[in-house]
Amino acid sequence: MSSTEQGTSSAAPAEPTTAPESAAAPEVPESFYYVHGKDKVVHKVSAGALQHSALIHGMISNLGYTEEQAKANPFPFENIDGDILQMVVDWCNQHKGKPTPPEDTNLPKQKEKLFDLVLAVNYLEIKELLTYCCKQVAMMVKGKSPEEIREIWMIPTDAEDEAAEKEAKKRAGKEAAGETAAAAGDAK
Amino acid sequence: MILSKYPYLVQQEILHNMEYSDLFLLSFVSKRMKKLIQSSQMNRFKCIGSIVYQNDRTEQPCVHIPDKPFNKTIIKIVKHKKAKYNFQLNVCGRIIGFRLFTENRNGPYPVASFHPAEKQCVINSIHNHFLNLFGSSVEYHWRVQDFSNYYIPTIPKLQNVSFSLSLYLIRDFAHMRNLENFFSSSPVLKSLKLWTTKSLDPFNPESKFYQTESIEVQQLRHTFPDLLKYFQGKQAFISCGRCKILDLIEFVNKWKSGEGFRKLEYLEMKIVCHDVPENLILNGIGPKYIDATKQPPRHQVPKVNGFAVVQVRGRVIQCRFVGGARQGQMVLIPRIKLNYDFIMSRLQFSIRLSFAMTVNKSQGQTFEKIETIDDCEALWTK
Repeated sequence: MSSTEQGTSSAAPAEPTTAPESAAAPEVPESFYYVHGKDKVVHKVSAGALQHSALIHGMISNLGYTEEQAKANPFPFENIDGDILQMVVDWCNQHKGKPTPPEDTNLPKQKEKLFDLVLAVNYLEIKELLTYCCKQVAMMVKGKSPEEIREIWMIPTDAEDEAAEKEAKKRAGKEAAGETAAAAGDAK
Repeated sequence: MILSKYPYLVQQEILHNMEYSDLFLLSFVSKRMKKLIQSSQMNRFKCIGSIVYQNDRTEQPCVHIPDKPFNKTIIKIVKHKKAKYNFQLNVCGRIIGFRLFTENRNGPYPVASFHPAEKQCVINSIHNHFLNLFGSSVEYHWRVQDFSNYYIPTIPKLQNVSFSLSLYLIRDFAHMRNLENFFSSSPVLKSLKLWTTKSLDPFNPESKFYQTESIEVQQLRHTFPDLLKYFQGKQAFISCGRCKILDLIEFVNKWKSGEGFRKLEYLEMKIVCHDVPENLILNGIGPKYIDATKQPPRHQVPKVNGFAVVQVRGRVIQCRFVGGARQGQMVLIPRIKLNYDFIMSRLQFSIRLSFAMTVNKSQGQTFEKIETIDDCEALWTK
């Protein structure tokens, strides 16, 4: 039986990313899971690739889904944009079961993409990719003046920080006052 | 991209990947950012060890963190030139002009400028910012090294800084009084290297000069400064062509008996030009013989101007300079073990270098390794 399985997997190279993996380890058939982001586009990812993400790994290790169940219940990540999730999935596939290189140069160069990617990666707990991303973010301000850094990272000035703090205090004070007023009203 | 929207751990990781010079600049962006740097990078700052203000005679310090293979430059502080300064920062209440500068090995780092009249204040402000940013676990060193003619450096008044100087008292040196005034008006130095040729009047025995923690002197005929009489610091390295053996004997006996030199932990004496009368010294200072079969005790000099002991063989230890101008060079120090009737620690005395043998008896021999001292031209030109 195992021989037929091996035969089918090598004869059907429909998924180029999974073919070498199943050839290398024929005993355990690769299981797949499905994820989708905000745009509802579903990505099929192997469990081996998903191991990079501590979050998903923790979820699937307790589930024991069959192929059909997995297909019927894709993991929804509503807080991650479709293209960002695509990037993450691609990275996980590329680095499946491989030791990760010390540098990763394929990260997006645009600020906003990188920003979203860091948030997504942090949420999915992909430690190595997070390290690369953080390096990349740090590189953005290398040799920049404080004002340039402020623009790149949108850091508020001291005055803005103070104003925000005052605002927050005011709001908290109002809420507290409202609560006490409500409580007084209840008592009456 | 809004940095403040990241969770703390992500911010910490990002800051962790930044160079010290970039963190220095980032600390000026806002008060809140400075606090974030201080709290998230606390452990990293604890590992810094020391921050060095490196000066030559122009006294425009380059501030760096010593590291291998290259030091990490944080900032350079230079005299104001006509070059454009890109931005100004309020450093501890003082407005200072900055520009960014890129060197081959050293990524872009900031260059601060000062007008000559305000130099002290500018350096002070920047130093206070360092104290505030990097915390109290960092040691600060002010070093002056200049390998040309004699000059007296100015020593700034800075909090929590130790000072290391190299002075060439070789040509045209005739300002003994100035030098003495300089030492009495400066804080006690951490380390001092002297290259001197002429014999001169000694300092006042009470001079603060003798309190320097570690002194290294190179001189053809050891007469000045009279360390063997008045030294009060921890380490002395004397390298000379000749010295008065009787002075040496008197010194050892005083040290041994505890009459003087109580702080002294280590003395190294190299006598290059003539054979040292070993028996005379041994008779003078007490021990009857040297037991060549016994391993001398291992001794590691604490790193003020340090050595690392590489190898101990028989009566000779092989040492490597770990700092200073001769960094990386090897030196051999034979040692005489002293015998006492009472308990006393760390009284080894290294008295002669194997140089002495090679200088006088080297004709016709082949050596695997030789070492020359090029500071002492007179020795080799004869």
